[in-house]
Amino acid sequence: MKVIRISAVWCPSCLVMKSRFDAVEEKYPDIEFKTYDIDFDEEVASFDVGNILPAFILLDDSNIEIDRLIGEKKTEEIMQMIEKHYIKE
Amino acid sequence: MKVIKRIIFILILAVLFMPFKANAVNNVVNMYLFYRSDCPHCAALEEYLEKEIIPNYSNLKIYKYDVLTSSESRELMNKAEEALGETVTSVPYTVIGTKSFVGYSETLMTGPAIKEVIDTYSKVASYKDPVGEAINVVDKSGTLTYDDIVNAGDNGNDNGNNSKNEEEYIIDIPFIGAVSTKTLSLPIVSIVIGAIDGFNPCAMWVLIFLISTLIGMKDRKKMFIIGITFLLTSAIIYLFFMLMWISVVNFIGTVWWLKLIIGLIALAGGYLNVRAFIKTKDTGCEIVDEQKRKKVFNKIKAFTKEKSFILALLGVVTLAISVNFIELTCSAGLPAIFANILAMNELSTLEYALYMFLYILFFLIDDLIVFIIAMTTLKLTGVSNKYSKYSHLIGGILMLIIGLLMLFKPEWLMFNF
Repeated sequence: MKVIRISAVWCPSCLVMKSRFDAVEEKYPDIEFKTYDIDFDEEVASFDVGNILPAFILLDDSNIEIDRLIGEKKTEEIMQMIEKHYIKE
Repeated sequence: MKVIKRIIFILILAVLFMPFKANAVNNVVNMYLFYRSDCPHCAALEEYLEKEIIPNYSNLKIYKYDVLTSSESRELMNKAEEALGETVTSVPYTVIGTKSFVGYSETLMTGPAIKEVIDTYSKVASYKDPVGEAINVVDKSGTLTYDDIVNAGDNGNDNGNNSKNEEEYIIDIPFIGAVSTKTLSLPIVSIVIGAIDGFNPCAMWVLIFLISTLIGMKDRKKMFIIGITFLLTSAIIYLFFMLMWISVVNFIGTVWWLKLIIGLIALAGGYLNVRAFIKTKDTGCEIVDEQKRKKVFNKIKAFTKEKSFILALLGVVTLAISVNFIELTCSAGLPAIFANILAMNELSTLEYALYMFLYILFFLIDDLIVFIIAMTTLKLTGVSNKYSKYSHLIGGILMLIIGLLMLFKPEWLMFNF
């Protein structure tokens, strides 16, 4: 499972979410976390981001999207989304 | 020498007041009334004069000047202010001798206070009329000021009534002390509308991108100067916008159709803001159109690479001007409404400047928080867009209220009565 975070350097909400996302990352060491910047990373093109940032996209092992959260969310909300699909390896 | 002068003065007054004690002289008293035909407080004063004063004082001559429709009247009002050495911020402005009244309020007993002044002046043969001289209504007036007459005639005892009424309008603010609610309303309005407008961060994304680029350079001094330049330019553009709006309102006058247009704009703005609050499910940053983003990025990159610091600063200034002009449509409603409220209150230039400064300061408060944190920690911090969401709700409700007041109760928005 992979968690993709798409943010932008100019987005205040992305800055607010950074520490929360880091806390989640620490909690799940066996999950791959990737952060992409909407303006600088070409990988963003492969996701349908929508029009609100930040976006948290959950991918399965075959890189297929299984869930997503948009905008400013609490740490618990991100964890809940992960827990819903998380099978400990 | 001083004692002799005092004795002579008292003797003159004593002579003057001899007939006053025995019998009222009822000399001609000139009243100069500067008003606006659209001002409810002026209308209330005129009603009071019609009912209570004119029928009882045949010796009173009222000279009326509508400062809304006549530039000549405005000039005369300026002369009157100069003659009395005061700066007047609103109308009605009533002058009798050396005594003047700004505004009219039943609660503050302005009417009876004016009546008392007419009574006092009615009982002296001649008095100092600096305004009458300044605006060529009288050739030469006497030498007695209102205070001279009151002190000599001991007429000032019942002034206590007025101060008692004033007390009801005075509140005690911790660390600041006693403040009259009359003078408090406009600053509070400036702060509240400014802060609400500020949390709608239309141009904040540019500031954040700017700071993030500068943090990469780790040059705190350069970051400070460039950031301040950006914020100051943004503030100046807002100031220009508001000044432009105030000049439009002052030029056209607060005519009914302008109030109607502004009222309707406020209602429409209020509706859109409340709708935006209801419809916004995810609090986050709306992705700005890519072309606009790229343009801004290129500009920022260009001046951060600029070797000449002056050219870099010019780059920031042009960036701030272009971004703020484009984003002005994003939050033009509240500053326009605020400028209209200021124009309705007919303030002095200094007061306009003060209230606009307060508005802009609180408008920039979120930008300032981000900037100050970035400056002190060299880390970029965001201000939650949740505030922006709630600013839509509060701003929307505020715009609806102001819109309704402008349409139905404009006098409630004239705080500086």
